[in-house]
Amino acid sequence: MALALDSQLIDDARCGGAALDRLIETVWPEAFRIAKTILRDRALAEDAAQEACAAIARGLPELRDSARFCSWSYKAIVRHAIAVSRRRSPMQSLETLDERGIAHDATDALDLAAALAALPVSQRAVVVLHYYAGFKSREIAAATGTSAVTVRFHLMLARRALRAALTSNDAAPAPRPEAADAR
Amino acid sequence: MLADARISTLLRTTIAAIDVPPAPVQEIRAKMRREPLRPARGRYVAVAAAAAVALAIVAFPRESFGVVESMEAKIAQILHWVPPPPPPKSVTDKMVTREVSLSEAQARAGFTVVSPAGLPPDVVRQTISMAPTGVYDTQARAWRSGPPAVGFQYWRRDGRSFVLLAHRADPHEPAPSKFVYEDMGGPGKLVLIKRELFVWRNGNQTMQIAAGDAISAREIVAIRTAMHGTAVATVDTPRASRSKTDVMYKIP
Repeated sequence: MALALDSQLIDDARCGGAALDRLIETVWPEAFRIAKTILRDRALAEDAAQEACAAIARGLPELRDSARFCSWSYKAIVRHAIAVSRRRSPMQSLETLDERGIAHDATDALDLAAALAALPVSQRAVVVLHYYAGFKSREIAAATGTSAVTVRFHLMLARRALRAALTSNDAAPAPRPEAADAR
Repeated sequence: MLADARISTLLRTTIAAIDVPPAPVQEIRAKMRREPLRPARGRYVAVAAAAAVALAIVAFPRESFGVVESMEAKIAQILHWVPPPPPPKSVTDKMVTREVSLSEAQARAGFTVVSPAGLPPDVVRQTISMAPTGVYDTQARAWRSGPPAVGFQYWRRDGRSFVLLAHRADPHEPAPSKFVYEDMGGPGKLVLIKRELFVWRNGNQTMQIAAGDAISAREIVAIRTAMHGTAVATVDTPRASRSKTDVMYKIP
């Protein structure tokens, strides 16, 4: 996980003040990047990241174990990204479709971004939580409000699509579909 | 598992490469102090009174028939207006919402589309969508497909959104109601919130929107003024619709 915070900062931020500002500034880049990956739209990602950071700051006094801050924050970020995606129009603007959210030209990353873009929001959220935040299916289920079985199914479909994108780039034979193993 | 590791690495690289804007700490602080927004249901149950155009979505697709009957009875009791039955599939199948450009809307709407002006300064995104309406003939008690309506949906910086609905003006339609009632209750529970409805004309276009959590009456008047729209007089009489038809919109 990329979101690593000093537990002293978390404890200090519970009291508000400058420590809370510092915590928000530390969480913000990760919140924005994850929201952007899921939503693929900068304006929506800003909305989702702002709401997630506000929810994290608001809920901080109730978080008893600072060691859980990281996973707790990821859940809040993904939950708000999904909520924002539900509020937006089902149709996407051309600007959104053209944007891949990457700032370099690595072919593999382009393929992955394109494959990610083709996934529904729910599967993108699962992919981010599993491959990026390192969540198990039960934790993802708790974060997204679905069952672990549904998560594993989404993960299997997403994995199949992402592997296909990567293997086609390698000109290798298509991968054998396999059952989800994110337990 | 090699592919899994590769996906993980590539995902980290991709995410790390995303350009991040500066942290809007003050805006986040302001949001933190506010209560979380209640999700807008956008389910206008009825336009009370002499509504030529019922801004109504009167189908309750997730409710059982018994609950629907009970809710309809409550609506009738409160508003003195009996909602029409849900439209048949043959009508709803045609009510497909499409996102369009302004020029496309102008070409296909059947009236001169005048786009909104004087919007709130924190609007960050907009879409224009079109969909055929469903028209319920209150005398024949039958649904049919109606002319298209155009919806201008705007998102504000804090996630709230509102829709300005445009349709072809009908000079014979009775004065619209001053209020609409939005259902904010949960499943099986009817909680009607009274909202003021604003209607104005630009040429042969009628535009309407109800004030609410996403947009205030003052902001709506600013839009109407900026568009040089002519306000349509509304009536405050909670009586049964004087209109021969009720219109259902599926926008956005």
